[in-house]
Amino acid sequence: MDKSTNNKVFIIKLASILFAITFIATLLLTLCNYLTKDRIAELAAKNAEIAKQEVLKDATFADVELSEEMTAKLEDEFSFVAAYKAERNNEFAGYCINVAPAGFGGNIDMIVGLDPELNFTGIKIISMAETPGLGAKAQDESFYGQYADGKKGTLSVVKNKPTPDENEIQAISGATITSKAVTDGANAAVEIAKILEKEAE
Amino acid sequence: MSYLKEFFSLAVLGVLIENFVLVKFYGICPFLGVSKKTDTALGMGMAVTFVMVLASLLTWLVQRYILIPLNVEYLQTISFILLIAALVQFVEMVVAKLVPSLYSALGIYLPLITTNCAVLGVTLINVQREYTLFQTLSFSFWSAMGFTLAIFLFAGVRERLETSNIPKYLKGFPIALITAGLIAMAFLGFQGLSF
Amino acid sequence: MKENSNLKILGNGIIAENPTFIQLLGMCPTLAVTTSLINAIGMGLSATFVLIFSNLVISLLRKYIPNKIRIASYIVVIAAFVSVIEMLLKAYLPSISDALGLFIPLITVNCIILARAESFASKNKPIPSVFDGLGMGLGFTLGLSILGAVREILGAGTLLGFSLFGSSFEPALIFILPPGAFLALGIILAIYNLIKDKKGAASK
Repeated sequence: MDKSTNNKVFIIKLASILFAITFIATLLLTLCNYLTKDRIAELAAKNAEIAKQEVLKDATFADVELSEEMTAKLEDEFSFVAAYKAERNNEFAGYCINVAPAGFGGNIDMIVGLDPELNFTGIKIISMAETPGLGAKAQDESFYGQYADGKKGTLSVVKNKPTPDENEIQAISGATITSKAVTDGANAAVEIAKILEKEAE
Repeated sequence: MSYLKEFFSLAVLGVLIENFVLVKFYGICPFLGVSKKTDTALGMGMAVTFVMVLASLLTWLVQRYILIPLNVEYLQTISFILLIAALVQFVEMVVAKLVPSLYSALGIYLPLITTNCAVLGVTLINVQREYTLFQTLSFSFWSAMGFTLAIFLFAGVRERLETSNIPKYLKGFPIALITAGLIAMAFLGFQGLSF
Repeated sequence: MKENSNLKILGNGIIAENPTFIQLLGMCPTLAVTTSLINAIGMGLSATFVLIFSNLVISLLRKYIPNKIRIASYIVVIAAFVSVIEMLLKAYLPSISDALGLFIPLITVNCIILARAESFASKNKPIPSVFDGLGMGLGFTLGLSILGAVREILGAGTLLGFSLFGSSFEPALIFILPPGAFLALGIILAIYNLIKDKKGAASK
């Protein structure tokens, strides 16, 4: 055998070993994905359900069906994820809007509750990756509680103001970006709900 | 026009607000390891820029045309890192053959780039934020520029530190880290630029 | 005798060659995720998991992997285990998975893991390799935990989420902001050098 065929055989051998390792790794991952994917999806659905219940108590929720262009438009403009219509005792009780504004450490997946007049009933963060001790304080009631009960209109963020006005949100100290992101998400939810109402007419 | 606007807003984002090294902590190993001299720091920065933009392009294509259609997004990490490793090898061979002068300048940094988490990091961020191809290319370019800026500034300070009189226990890495902390504090000021 | 040597390998990783304080490897996650103790532990244990299994598999395959493609093969093995831990965390510990975010897939390019594959697992038998992985992993976890605890106490006034000093305490926020990571690690390393030097002087 001359040198060049020898070389070729060697390269084929290398490639097949690497291929075999990659193939086995892929099989392992496929198996692992198969075992965990249902649980991951279930967990996400459960968290979203709990969040919806928390912002609009004792309501039942139905997905708001949207055309593909509409979804794309909302996703583009408002970091929209999903919208749900709430009913309580067979009466329209408002909307739950799932938005995911960009925070400091990635997107903040949150649910915004709105009553039929589009006043805020509360917000709940499903998942986020903000800094513990700073942005992560958005999950404390002292912060998200500010969005509850009848606040209306466009909210804005203020820093260290002793008594914030009706539609002002006190920022978490050291985490203005997170506070603004959550507030933007809440404002976006109102805009989305307005568009949905217009669509429905 | 909107492309131009997007390009520059991603520049502010990538270089200042989300500086890869000083705010997001991607690529700390080369930041601490290859920052003793300004010219080697610049060389590393250029090599990283080259690989980051190419890797972003390729991983965007793989994600869009292979992983999503086949519904195998869980293979993202493994396919991206294989792609980056292959790309680095390939770039090394091509540059060595075609532009020997560039190779002699960048060659020593190239093998280190496979395990630079800034490269894998930027490709994963592009996918996570669902950037378009144009945004992907601009963001990866500007992030790499942010990396280059940080490592260049840091090398400048470290060159001075070499000759200055510092307490014995702070010599070497401790003082380098504290210096980096001070530079990072300056970058913290850019946070106000967002929104 | 044999057990002794395995224990020595274990101790080597945790103390004598501690990846964080002595080798200064894997700095990206060290600085990025140590904003709280719980995140630091989560990251440390995830990396330990990957280290143990990648060391084991690479040691088992060491005679079959040709030298030329060894790095590529190691990376594939490591990336596979990283993806496994990523899926497991998402399914069973979603809060940790959210907090660590992108730094979980980035364990793939953590230099500690590739360095142990290259310098230990590719030259040693499976059992010592597992102990090496465990030792290095725990050493990494220890380093992260110390930094995480310091930053959480100084920067947020809490430890594992529990308030330590009561509500009148004003924490130094800078320690959980990005610059604090560099400052805290720099100061800890300086103190470490000081202690080592004092000990060295005493033993003379």
